[in-house]
Amino acid sequence: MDLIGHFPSTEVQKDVDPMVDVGNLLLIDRQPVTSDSDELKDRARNNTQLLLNAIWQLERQQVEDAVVAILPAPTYRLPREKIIPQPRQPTKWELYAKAKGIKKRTKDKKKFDDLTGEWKPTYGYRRGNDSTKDWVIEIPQNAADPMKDFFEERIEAKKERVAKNEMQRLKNIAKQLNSTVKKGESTDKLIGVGVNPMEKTKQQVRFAADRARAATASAGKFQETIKGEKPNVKTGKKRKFEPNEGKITEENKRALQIFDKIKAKKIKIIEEKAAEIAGPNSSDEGKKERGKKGKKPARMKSEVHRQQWFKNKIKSKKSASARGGRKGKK
Amino acid sequence: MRPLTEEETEKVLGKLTYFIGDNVAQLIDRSDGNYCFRNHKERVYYCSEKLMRQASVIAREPLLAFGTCLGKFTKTKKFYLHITALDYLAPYAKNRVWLKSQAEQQFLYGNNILKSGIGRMSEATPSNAGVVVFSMTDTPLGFGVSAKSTQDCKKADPTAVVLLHQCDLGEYIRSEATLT
Repeated sequence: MDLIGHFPSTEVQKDVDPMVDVGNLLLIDRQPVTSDSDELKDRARNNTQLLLNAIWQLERQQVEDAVVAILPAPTYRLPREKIIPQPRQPTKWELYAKAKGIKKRTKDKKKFDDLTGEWKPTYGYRRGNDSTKDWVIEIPQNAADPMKDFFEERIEAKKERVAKNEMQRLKNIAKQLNSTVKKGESTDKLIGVGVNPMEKTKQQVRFAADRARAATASAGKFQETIKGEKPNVKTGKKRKFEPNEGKITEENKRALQIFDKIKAKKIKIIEEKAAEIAGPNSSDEGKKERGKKGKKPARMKSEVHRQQWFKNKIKSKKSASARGGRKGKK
Repeated sequence: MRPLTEEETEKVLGKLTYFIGDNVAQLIDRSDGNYCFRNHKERVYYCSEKLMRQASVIAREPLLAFGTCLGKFTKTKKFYLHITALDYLAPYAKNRVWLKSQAEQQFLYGNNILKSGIGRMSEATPSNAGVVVFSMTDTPLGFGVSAKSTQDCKKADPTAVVLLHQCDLGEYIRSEATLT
């Protein structure tokens, strides 16, 4: 066929036999490398051909539509990716045992319990010969306080042993991490337990209020401020400053703009003050003028009623006093 | 060192306007070169552009001062003028007060001024206005706030407080450690 002439042969001749590890799909060419790029390309092609030849010689299987080769176990040991982990530092007990020559004796995991006649775990849950599960305890003759709870005492002693062991375990870990275990009660804040509102500082209350205000679906955007309320301090925005070495002329222009704003404000205040100083006279005059020339507001119905009510009252008073006078004369 | 923010500029210029009024524009836009305001460690410095550029080479920590310190921002972000700003306030001051020689010492020790201590007072000084204090020989001594306007001052009795002390030259000695 035509096609065969176009492609290089599948049979490859090598001066030095390459190392082929089909398990890893790996081929290592041991021939010295030359700097000719064309030759390198050729070699890469030939080596790939060699590897595929080797794969084709393997046992084959048909999985659905695909032909699959069964790879043998790899022979080449690939180098390790990560460094070998450091051996664990011996614990304090292990050091002590080594110094004293104490050998570890293993006990059986199960122990025969005489009471029940069963094999039970040596340690842990449902262990045999559990001293804390005794139904009766003989009070020792030399007991200092025979009335105390001896059952309780055993449970406490067990708890203490467990706690001590835990502490030693933590100390060993701390030693391995080159830190120390803190003594005394934990000073870490309890999670989920807030500060009592009465004990909060003014600032803490402030921040809490700010946080509460922003805790709406729209992050507090539409939250109205209460009268006299200060704006939120911690908005999460970072301060941003102009560059130090920018254009000074621009900076001064901005300063002048701000200064103009200040001047405008100042004038307003002065006018107000002037009005205040000249206040009582001018405003009185204004009122009088309004009384004379200004448009009178329409009289409200209630006002009319009130006036009538006062008129009636005065009338009735007059009549009453007139009657009273007569009476007095009589 | 950094330029002032908009709020800071407003506070600084507002305070300067309190003492020298419209002359603040002459401090911002000067004919003899570019001058600028800079905030360095919450203190406001006024200096020429050249000096600012030279000072900006020095790191924040070791840089103590440059140019003229006008004042400082408090922790609650209020702006206070320092006595060092007097050089820029005195020539432009709107309202001035000249002290008699016996009241000079009183003022320099940080006391308020009574009417008896005042030699001269510029006309049309309103109350609660920023006033620059001079000696009779026209040496600036400090600045303060007028407790009474010129009009009221004429009627007031000699023991009435006319000027409230804010800053005086004595501070160069009294608060030498904090001034920059």
